[in-house]
Amino acid sequence: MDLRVVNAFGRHVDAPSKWERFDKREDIISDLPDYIIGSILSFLPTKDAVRTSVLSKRWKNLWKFVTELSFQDRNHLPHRKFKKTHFLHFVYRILIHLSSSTIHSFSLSVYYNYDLSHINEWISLISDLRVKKICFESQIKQRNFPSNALIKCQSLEELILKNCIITFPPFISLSSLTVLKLSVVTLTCYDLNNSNEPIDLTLTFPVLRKFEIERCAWLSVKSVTLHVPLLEVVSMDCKFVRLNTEFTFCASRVTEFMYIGPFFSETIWVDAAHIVSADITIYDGSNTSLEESILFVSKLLSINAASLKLCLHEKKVLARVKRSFNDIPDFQILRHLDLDYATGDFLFDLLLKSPRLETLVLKVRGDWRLDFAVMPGCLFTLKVVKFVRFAGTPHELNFAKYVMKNALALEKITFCSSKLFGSNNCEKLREKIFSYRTWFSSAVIEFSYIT
Amino acid sequence: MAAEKSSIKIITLIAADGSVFEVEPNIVKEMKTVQSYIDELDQNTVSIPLPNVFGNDLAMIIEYCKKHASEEETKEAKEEFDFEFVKRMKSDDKLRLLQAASYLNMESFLQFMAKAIAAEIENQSVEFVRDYFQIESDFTPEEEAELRKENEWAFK
Repeated sequence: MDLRVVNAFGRHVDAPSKWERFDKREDIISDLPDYIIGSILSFLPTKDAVRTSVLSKRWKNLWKFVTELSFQDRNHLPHRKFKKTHFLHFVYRILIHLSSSTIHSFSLSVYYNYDLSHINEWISLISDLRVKKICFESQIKQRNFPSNALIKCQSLEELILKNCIITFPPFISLSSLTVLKLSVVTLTCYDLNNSNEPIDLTLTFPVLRKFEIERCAWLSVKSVTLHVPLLEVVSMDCKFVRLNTEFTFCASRVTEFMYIGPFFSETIWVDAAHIVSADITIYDGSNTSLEESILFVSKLLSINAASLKLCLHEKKVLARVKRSFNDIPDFQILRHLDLDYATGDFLFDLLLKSPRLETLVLKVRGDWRLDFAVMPGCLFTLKVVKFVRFAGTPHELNFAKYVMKNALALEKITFCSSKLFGSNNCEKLREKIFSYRTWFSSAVIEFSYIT
Repeated sequence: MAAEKSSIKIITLIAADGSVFEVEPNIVKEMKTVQSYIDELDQNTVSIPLPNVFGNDLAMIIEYCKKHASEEETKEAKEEFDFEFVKRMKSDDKLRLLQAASYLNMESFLQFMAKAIAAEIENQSVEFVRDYFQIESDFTPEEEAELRKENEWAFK
């Protein structure tokens, strides 16, 4: 067995004593292969990577092996003599001199405004290097971002835009895109016919898996139709925006759906047969008419989900959602329901629509007069009921009693309350709750405290 | 699993200082250099000399591999482990482990070390980095000045 020392390239090194000298440091790194040094430099902001060119002759061109590019025109400390032309020159220089045959990611964070033709040219240059991920962010106010080169970039797998304005043609198709995240982005559409009328935007992303938008405005876009057959996650955070755009997701494989925002006059329609989990928060924030709200909710809640979290914070919202129930098909596959706010009759209607419900998580507030004329079918399937922030009000107790007496498959009922609740009080409540238990029930009654 | 291919139960790794480590085949899966040895040999037990890796370093690498090969550990537990792993290392350790990872041809561990080293030199001056890597400059002052001028913006 040859135990003589070989270096990283497999050459024998004659002085074994070299290995005894870790107390005295030496230049280990420069002997490593180029691509390994390139991978260290890829983790750095490009500016830092380029600075290593002056370390020694060995390092002069090593930065050219980076596969991740990240440019920021201004750090936290603004430098006094910043010149936009220097930054522009720098980015061009880097992009032209790269030795890597492909670029994994390109991220650009700008403080100042640049002519769009430059950014477009950069996107075009990295497209030639088959870039997979592009991130753009404006540090202070919304800046324009060009779409010309972007929409031709067929190698692009991930696109993340923050705080910018972008104008698209009415049809876009990106064949490799798997993730699209837009945050505080204003989107507009070219008006090809100069008709001055709102435009229909069609997005075709055959392999898109994740679509996330947060506080985006769609100006003069009448509708957005997404052809996204493999889409799995939809997340739409529409706080503080006006949405006058109709969304249609042609996506049969969505498993997760999230919406937070007010009622809108236009609808969101997800064409999916089986959603694993949906998380919907609606508040009253726009001047949508009653009819429009009902239409909006009935489309939104037509999704067929196995788990639904519903947050409706105001009475008015609740009433409008309730009005739309007639137009919503039953929640045929709903097993888990988490309700943030509800009144007794709202909950009752919801239970009637959920014939296979197994778990119910409730925060009881508001008016809880119960009038259960009909027995909901889910009382045969309901296994777990959990009261969150249980306060021991007569309404809550009334519902608990109803469930314990009528839910035949009940396995567990949990009451979570805050510690503020006096222990004396607690004991009385416990006794009361235990007295609801029927002789045939084997359900576990659990009390827990949250701080 | 590597074990399916042959009947190898235990792999013996011998570090440069002679220390011996006995590991299961799935632990060395990521070490392509070791794996190519195993594939060539057809024995029940394999003993592999690693003349480029010292015992202390090999022990750390094996610890890392064990944690990451485990199917019981959650993703969070692995991340927590990675964080602590980097935290207890000195700068020299990181460089030596990178070198070892390069020799053993371990892709993900190599990336992990590269990232840890990058974090040390991020936002640092040329002088700091030169000292950190113990690099002796073979540029004349004029050559260096010329290079700095070419990429002016990077040095501001």
